[in-house]
Amino acid sequence: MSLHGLQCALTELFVGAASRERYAHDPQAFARRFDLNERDRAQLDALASSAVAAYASTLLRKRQSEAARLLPQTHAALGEEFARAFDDWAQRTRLPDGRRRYIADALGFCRHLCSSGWVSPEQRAIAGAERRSLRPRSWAFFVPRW
Amino acid sequence: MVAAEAKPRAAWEPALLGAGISLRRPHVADAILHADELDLVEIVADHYLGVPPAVNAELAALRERFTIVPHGLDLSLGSAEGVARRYLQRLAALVEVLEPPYWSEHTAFTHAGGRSIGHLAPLPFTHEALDVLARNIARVRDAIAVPLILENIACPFDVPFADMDEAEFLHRLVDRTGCGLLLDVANLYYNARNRGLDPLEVLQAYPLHAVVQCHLAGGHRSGGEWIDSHAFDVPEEIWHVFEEVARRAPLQAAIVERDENLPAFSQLAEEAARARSILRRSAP
Repeated sequence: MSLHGLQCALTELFVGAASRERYAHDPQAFARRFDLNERDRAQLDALASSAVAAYASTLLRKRQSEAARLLPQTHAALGEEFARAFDDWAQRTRLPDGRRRYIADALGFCRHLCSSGWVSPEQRAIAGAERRSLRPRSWAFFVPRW
Repeated sequence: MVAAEAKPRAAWEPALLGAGISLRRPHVADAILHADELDLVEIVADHYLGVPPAVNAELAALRERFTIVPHGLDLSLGSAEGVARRYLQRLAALVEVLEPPYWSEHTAFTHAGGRSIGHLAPLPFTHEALDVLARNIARVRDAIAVPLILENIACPFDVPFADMDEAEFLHRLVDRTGCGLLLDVANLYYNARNRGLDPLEVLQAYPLHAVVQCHLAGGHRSGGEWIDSHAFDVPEEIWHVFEEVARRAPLQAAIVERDENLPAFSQLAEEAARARSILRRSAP
């Protein structure tokens, strides 16, 4: 089961900013949370935190790209602020599980925007309308493109 | 422990399917209208799961015109916890309806501990990972009889303490499972460049006798790293590697992939035509 433990640990590092911080602060304590043998712990220790961070950054860019594609009007209304706001929000939230995860992610971001003080009333209205239109939309063609 | 290991199949017979594109929604209508410009299309299987294929008009229209090769994303063949039963059932239903000559997935994991990564994550090149892949592939074959081909992924880093390199890992994988390979030429090229290696030298070590299909795409350079972004035309360097693959592998098909900066359909069809020309020139 050691590969399983390693994959669980890597998944935590890839998708969780807080996990990456814990790992950077105390790798041994992080490794103890998983069922890792000595070799797996060594693997995890040897994995450069910069490589993990780079991969996590790739995942974040992918989330942002999917959200922008699913929320074209909100993306246009926010302009360059969309990327900054999404990154800021996504660092604190996990990509939902399940096959509709990118739709759920985009809806979550819309909810966040609608409750954010810095968003203008017009931008909030656009995000709210797009959220309402996205929710019932057929999910079949809006899953990730890897 | 490896349970019910997959049975190796006979060597892949050259049977030229030709060249096509990995179909994205904005190009579906053009693909149907200009079906004579493509020999086959690849669809992302996940886009069609859960939509009953028998009542999916779009899929039916495509099936009337093309050989359709389903390409899975989220089966997580490398997951030590196994593959998801429900996902596999849906995938099997889709493959059964499409009746493709083969279907494809990745040598990667996308889930662990009940969490989804949302992307393809690299496996360590270890004997244990080989055991896991062989076990999962055996289970998949119980559900899907159509031959499976496996794709190399873009790896921004190597998981340390590998038992072997990627080429040996793939050799052992195809020997053990009999699966063919879907060689993503862009992934091979960018992985090699990011590690300071010569892509053609890396290619020499691959199990080219098992390569059935190629993916062709263009990436970009960011922060000193090559990113397989599928956002640009296939660059000349990747065409060059593909020509070498076509000369040496029993290729059945080549597929042009594009996800970002989607160009007009005609531009992708031109790239597919170039791939077709190379395939025909190299066919035995």
